[in-house]
Amino acid sequence: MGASIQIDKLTHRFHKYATPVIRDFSLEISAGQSLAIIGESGCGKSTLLHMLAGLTQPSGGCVRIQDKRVCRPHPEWNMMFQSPALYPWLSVEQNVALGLEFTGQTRGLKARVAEMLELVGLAERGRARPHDLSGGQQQRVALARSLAVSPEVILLDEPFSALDAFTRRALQREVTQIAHDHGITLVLVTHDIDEALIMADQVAVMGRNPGTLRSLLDVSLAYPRDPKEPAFKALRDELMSRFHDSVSLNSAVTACGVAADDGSCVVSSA
Amino acid sequence: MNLQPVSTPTVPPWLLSRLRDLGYTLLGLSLLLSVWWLGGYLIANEPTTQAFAGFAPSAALPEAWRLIVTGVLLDSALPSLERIFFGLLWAALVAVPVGILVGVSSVLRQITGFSFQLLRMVSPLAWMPVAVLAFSTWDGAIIFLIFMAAVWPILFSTAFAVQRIDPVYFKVARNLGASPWANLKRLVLPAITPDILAGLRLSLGVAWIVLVPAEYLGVTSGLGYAINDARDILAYDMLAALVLLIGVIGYTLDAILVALIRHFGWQRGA
Repeated sequence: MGASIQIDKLTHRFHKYATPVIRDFSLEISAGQSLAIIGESGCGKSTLLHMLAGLTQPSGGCVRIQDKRVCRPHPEWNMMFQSPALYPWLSVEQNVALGLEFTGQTRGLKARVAEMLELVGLAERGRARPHDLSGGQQQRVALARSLAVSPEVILLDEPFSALDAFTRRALQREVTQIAHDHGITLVLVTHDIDEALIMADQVAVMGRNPGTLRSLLDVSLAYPRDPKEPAFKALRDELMSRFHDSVSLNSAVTACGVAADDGSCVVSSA
Repeated sequence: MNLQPVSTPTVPPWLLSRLRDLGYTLLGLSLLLSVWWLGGYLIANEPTTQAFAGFAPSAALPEAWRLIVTGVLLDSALPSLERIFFGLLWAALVAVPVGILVGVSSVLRQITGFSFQLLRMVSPLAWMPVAVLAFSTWDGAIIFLIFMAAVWPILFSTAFAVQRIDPVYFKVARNLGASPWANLKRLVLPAITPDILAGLRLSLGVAWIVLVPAEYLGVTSGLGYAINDARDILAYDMLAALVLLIGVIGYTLDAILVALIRHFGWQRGA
């Protein structure tokens, strides 16, 4: 269950002669691990995630998921976006079934859809239209849609940023729990330091101009995590400090664990 | 003494709203009828225009009823409706695929932009000589004129609708493994259906206007022919009745399309 991700010297330019947005980004994520990526706006976090999903082709380097080179999007490595992006002309059930239909997994489709809706707590809303649901419920449906195709990796691009604080916190815990239960590898891009610490086994801090890995922090706290705990607060302070360092310093990668001079950093299993 | 609050029967708000709408519609119709009646009265009492007294509602309304109950209206309307149907069908068959291509490809949009706008501005009736030369039957020529009137609204609304599809929907589809055909069937066509129908509604309006003068062309059936015939035999009551009935049929066709837009529309409140 879950898949490992190898990112090898990933570089991206928006056009041939532009300054790279991301340069020589290397990282390894073990199967079933969760990694959060934080960094300033414009440091290339979302671009990195799009390259992991195969939605954007890198200018250099490569991404491998379970030793398969990522050349195009694939349901096994599935992305959840900032907006739930549910198709408004389809019902909730039909939205959840989309990936199964696209990949020809129509046998047992209804049962699988019902199972996924049950998992995200929306078993009763299958016939509803997306616009009849709250923002949090829509994001749950998007999660069910992603989970329906049994992904090895889920890539989350600030999926909770438009939600209210209570719904956001609940969803952070639910997604983490579901990913752990199913052994799914999670990669999360966020601006919210608490979100990163609640959901991730490791937090990567990115610097900008160009986007590089500056620091990597192990979050060795038991799940579910409580932001009021002293250990959580200590990690938050540590992460804040590293984040500020990455903003103010345009220096080489700050090591946390096994960072190398070339900007690569290996993430070990927790 | 036991005092109970007096309950008064209240009218439900939706019923009140419907009654108000109906009231305004009836008021508008009454005003129209008054103007028509006044015009008829003035024409009938002016010696130089007395010959046109048949235009007054007192003569035209009984004539309209006669046309309906004797089946004369149906005999005239059916060929017209057939021509409208085929004209709109051909317009949709051409405009929807071309509109999708123009919406998808910015290069094609640039190539066709000027030419399409130029052709759109040509009055459909200006194509009459071309239609007569190009088609071996009068029916073919009339359907071509309706086609020329109807094709542009559908084409432009389709192209615009394709451009407006949220790009994140395409990312979701790619992410879930959609083939190009699945993309078209599950994403593009449902997303643009309300706009295609809105374009079709506009086209119907223009086509219905073009129909009557187009049916002056050689044919011996249809509402346009019936009006021309009524004028030739100086049956002004019949002419006014036909004008009224053309309006009623046009309104009914428009109402059918509005109902279709409501049925297939997925926007909130549709």
